[in-house]
Order: sequence, then C-alpha cells, then structure tokens
Amino acid sequence: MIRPRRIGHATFETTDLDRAIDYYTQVMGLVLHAREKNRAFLMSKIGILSVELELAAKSRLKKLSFEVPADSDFAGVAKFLSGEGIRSDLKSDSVPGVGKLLAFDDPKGTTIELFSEWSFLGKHLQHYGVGPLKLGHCAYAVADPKAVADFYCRILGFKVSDWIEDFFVFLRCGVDHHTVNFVRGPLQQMHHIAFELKDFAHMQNACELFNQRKIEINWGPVRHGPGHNVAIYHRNADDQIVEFYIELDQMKDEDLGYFDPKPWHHDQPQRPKVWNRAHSGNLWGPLPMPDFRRENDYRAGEVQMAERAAAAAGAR
Amino acid sequence: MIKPRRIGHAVFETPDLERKLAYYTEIVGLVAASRERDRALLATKQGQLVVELQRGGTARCSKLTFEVAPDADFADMARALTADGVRSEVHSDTVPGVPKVLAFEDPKGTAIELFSEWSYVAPNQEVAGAGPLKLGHVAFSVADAGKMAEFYERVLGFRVSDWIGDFFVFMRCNADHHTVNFITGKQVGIHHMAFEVKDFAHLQNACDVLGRRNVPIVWGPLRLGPGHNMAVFHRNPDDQLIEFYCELDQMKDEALGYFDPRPWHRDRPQRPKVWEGQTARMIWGLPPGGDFLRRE
Repeated sequence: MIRPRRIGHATFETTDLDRAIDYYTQVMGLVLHAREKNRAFLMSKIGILSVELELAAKSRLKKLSFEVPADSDFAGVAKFLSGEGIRSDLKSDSVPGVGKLLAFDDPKGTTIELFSEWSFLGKHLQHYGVGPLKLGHCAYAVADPKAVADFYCRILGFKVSDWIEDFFVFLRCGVDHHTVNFVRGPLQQMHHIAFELKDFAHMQNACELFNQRKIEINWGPVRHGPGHNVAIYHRNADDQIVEFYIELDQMKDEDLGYFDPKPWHHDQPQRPKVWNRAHSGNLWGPLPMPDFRRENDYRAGEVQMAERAAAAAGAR
Repeated sequence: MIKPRRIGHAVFETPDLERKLAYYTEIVGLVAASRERDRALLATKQGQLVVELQRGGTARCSKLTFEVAPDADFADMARALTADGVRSEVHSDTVPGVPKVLAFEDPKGTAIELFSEWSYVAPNQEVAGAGPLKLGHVAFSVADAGKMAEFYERVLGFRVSDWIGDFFVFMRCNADHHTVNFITGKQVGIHHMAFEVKDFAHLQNACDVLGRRNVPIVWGPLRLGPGHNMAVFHRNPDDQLIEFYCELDQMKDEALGYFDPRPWHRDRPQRPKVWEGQTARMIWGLPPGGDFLRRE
C-alpha cells in the first residue's frame, strides 16, 4: 500500500491567471516563485511550494500532490495501483524542486501526484497579506463520500478521523486531524481549501486584512466540532471557499488512538467518532452566512443546475 | 520492544507539601484533584493527572509515568526489561483511574511506571494562575547524557531529536520534539520540568501571572534552538526550574524524518542534528541569567 505522509501542493485551473496571482500574493500572502505565460507557482513564506495555477476555460481544482517516504519504490507503487485497476504515469521535472512523481486519478477525477524528492524554493521570504504557515487540507463535495473515503483508506492508507452522520468524513495521513475531507453535495467540485495560521493573534490579523480589502468573511471565527480547529472562511478571486485555521486536533500517537487532550474537548479523551449534525458545525461561533452555503445547499444546487441546463438549452 | 507514547505525570517529593500545593494551584494553575495528609494529586484544567506531590525529606523528582499502547502486554514488557537486565514489578492502583502499572528504575534511579489504562481525575474546569494544557517534558542533569540516551533509546524506544554538542540530548516518544532530555552536569537530579501553554498570548499571560506574584523569570521569553519552542523559565518554591512553552517542533511523520517546517527554522527541512555555537542555545532572545545557570 502507498502511504502519503504530507500534502504537498494544490494545482488550480483558473480563468484569470493575473487575478488569481494577485489574490494569492496580495491577500493570501504566498510568494510568487515562477511565472510562465499560462502557469504560475506560489510558495509559502517558508519557501515550500503550495499552489500551482494554470490558465484554463473553467476554474477548478485539478491536482493534489502528496509526499511519500524517501525509500518509496515508484515502480512497485505503479504495479500496486495497476493491480487495483488504476492507471498511473511516472513524470519528471514537471514541478519546480520536485524530481519524479507518480500521477493517477482518484475516483472523483482529481489527479493525485506522489513525490519523495523535493526542495525548498526560497528562504525566510517577506510577504504581503496573511502569510499562512502551510497548506493544511482540501475538502471536496462528492455524491458518495463513503465510496471516496474507502478509496483513500484502501489505496492510500488514510485513516478516518471523524464522520458527521453519514455525509461528511475527515481523513488523516499524519498527525493532523484531516488532510482531505469529503462532504456529500449536489455538485462534484472542491468544497474548500485550508491553510494553517500560527495562532489566534495571526488569525485576527487576517480578519483585519479582510476588512481593509473589503473581503467578506462568510463564516467564523468559529471553533469546529470535528478537528476542533478555530476557522475563518472567505471566497477567493475564483469564487472558491478558502479557510484559515489554527489549533487543529493532533493524533500524536496512532496506537493510543486519541487526539492530544485540549480544554475545549467535550469527550475525555477525544477519539474518532460519528458526530451528529446538531453539534458538529461549531462548538462556539456564528452560523455560516448564506454565501458560504451557496453550492452546498442541496436546493440551491438544484436551482443552479436547472439554471445551467436552461442556459445550455438556450445556447443550442 | 517497550514503547512509551506519552508522558503521564511526574512525582515529586517535597519537604513543604502545603507551600508546593499552593504554588501549583495558584501560580502554575493546576487543580488539586485529591489531597491526603502526605500526598496530593494535581491535574490540568482538562482534568489530566500531571503532578503528584509526596511529603519527603528532600525536594526531588522521584518518578515519571508513561502511557503505552492499549494492547501492550505487561508480561512481555517485563520479560523485555529482564532481558535488558532491568528488574520490574507490577503494581496496582498507585493513582486513581490507573489499575495497573509496570514499575522499574532507569539508570539514574528515577522510578518509571508504564500504564495503559487511565482516566481523567477531575472535570474540565476554570483555573487560577497560568493554566497549562499539559505536562510536556522533564529534563534531568546526569553524569553521562550519552549513556542515559542509550538506555532510553535501546530499552524504551525513544528517538534522538537533537544533541547540543555531546552534553545535552533531546528525545521524543511521539510527535513532540522532546519528552525527556538529559544534560551532562555535576549534580544528578531534575534540571527542569516543562508545561505546554496554548500560544504566545497564553505565554504572555503566564509571564503576567509570575510578575503579579513576584516570581522572577530567570530566562526568556525566548525562542530556543533545539525544538524551537518559545519558552519562559522560573524557579518553584523547591528551587526547581519550571518552563512554560509553546510552538515546540513536531515530527509529524517518522518516515519523512523532518520536523514540520516553520518560518523560524534555519535548516530546510529541519532534521535531527548536533547543534553547536550560539543558535544551540537560542534562535532569539537574551542569554539566561545567573539564577538559571547556577546548578548546571
């Protein structure tokens, strides 16, 4: 089995590359590493590649990369995948600082890239905007979260950290409570992407910055149930939801099987479990604004799809 | 092999139980979960047991406990210890909520107890004082740090996170950069005990608690080298060094072998190593005062 240990970077297709670069460098606080005509690479202030942008007709999440241990045998992994009926390609030098990588698609069509060799792209970088410490997790809306979670557990060795009833699952590949999560939704697309901040003071600075830039915070600050992270959400230039978070639950030892105890836990100790909907959204904090729920409200999704169908019919 | 996964609590003998109890409840911000004539159990505000006080002739740290995996077999662990020449015994009900421990001594004479079953000893509650989140690590001054590290590595499965020169070693038993550390020194005994606070704002609150109570801060606030934790040190009524810290390095995956990257790291990525020179002591902040160094 393959075991990703850390999320590397996310690749987004965007309809407006300049606007997206402006957002990631001026608001998010990443640093531009390289810019080609139709492509850009952005790194965190620590110098780790975090986001790749590609110009395209539609804005969407295209790829996620994960680090595997240095001694991983890529040919063996490719054979294992092939045995599972998954086609993979070995690529070289397609990403700055990364040697070879093994690419394949997950069941929802996101390309997964595994790499073991990588290097920092910069050091002690100055930045504008928020300046997160790292890319933390990526949530995706899918028709059947159980099926996708099974794939991630069986093929990629992820572990379930929590469920909210049967519609939202949080999966970990390391100490962090979740690195990918899947929610049942009418539209199969990215739900949100999350970046880690240092502490609550850092998060307050982010809120002040949003106010200065007239960017609406559409949920938070709120302390979540599953993961117990304190979080704020906004929409980026491509209308995707972006989360900043701190204080995410840490499974410091898999065999002990509980998250490092914190004063805000209600369970003693806090173990992976199934949460009910009423207590899962937030332990404290406001409810999400309608703008946060836009695509994920089932009825709103239906309306949106009906509108699209009507528009497509009109175009014909 | 025996593999501790988390530090449980530290046992201290003290000549003045009342004074020590007042210190832990009013300044450190622990909860007195139980009190007998010659013994007191102290818990964090979450209710986890972290310190046990016993009346004794001299002030010293006599015991550390560690949690092992739920399926750890006590007979197997006892056999493994015997094979390493270490005598062990099973004790029952040493503290509330812990039905069984495997007890033995490490080479410096500190009692070690391993447990798998445990329960919270107090409800989640508000506290006075600093109110740390957990007991993080205990450092000992020993005759030979290398020998001690060898024992903790071979017998207890700890991993070396960093060395300063050949005299100060930091060892981990989970994602935290260090849970025990050993410094070669003239005196054998506890060097310091450290409690984790939530973040830098919480660390500042702890400084203000110490300030209000006229407890001198003998080192910090500063960012240390090995572990990169922000730290503040003071001395408790038994003259032991106590550290409050936040932002300790995390080895999130042993197979990757580097600490979760942070902007204040100078190595990229930051891996276990031998530190030398000025950064071995600190990344930024003032050097320690005489009152910190006095027993090194």
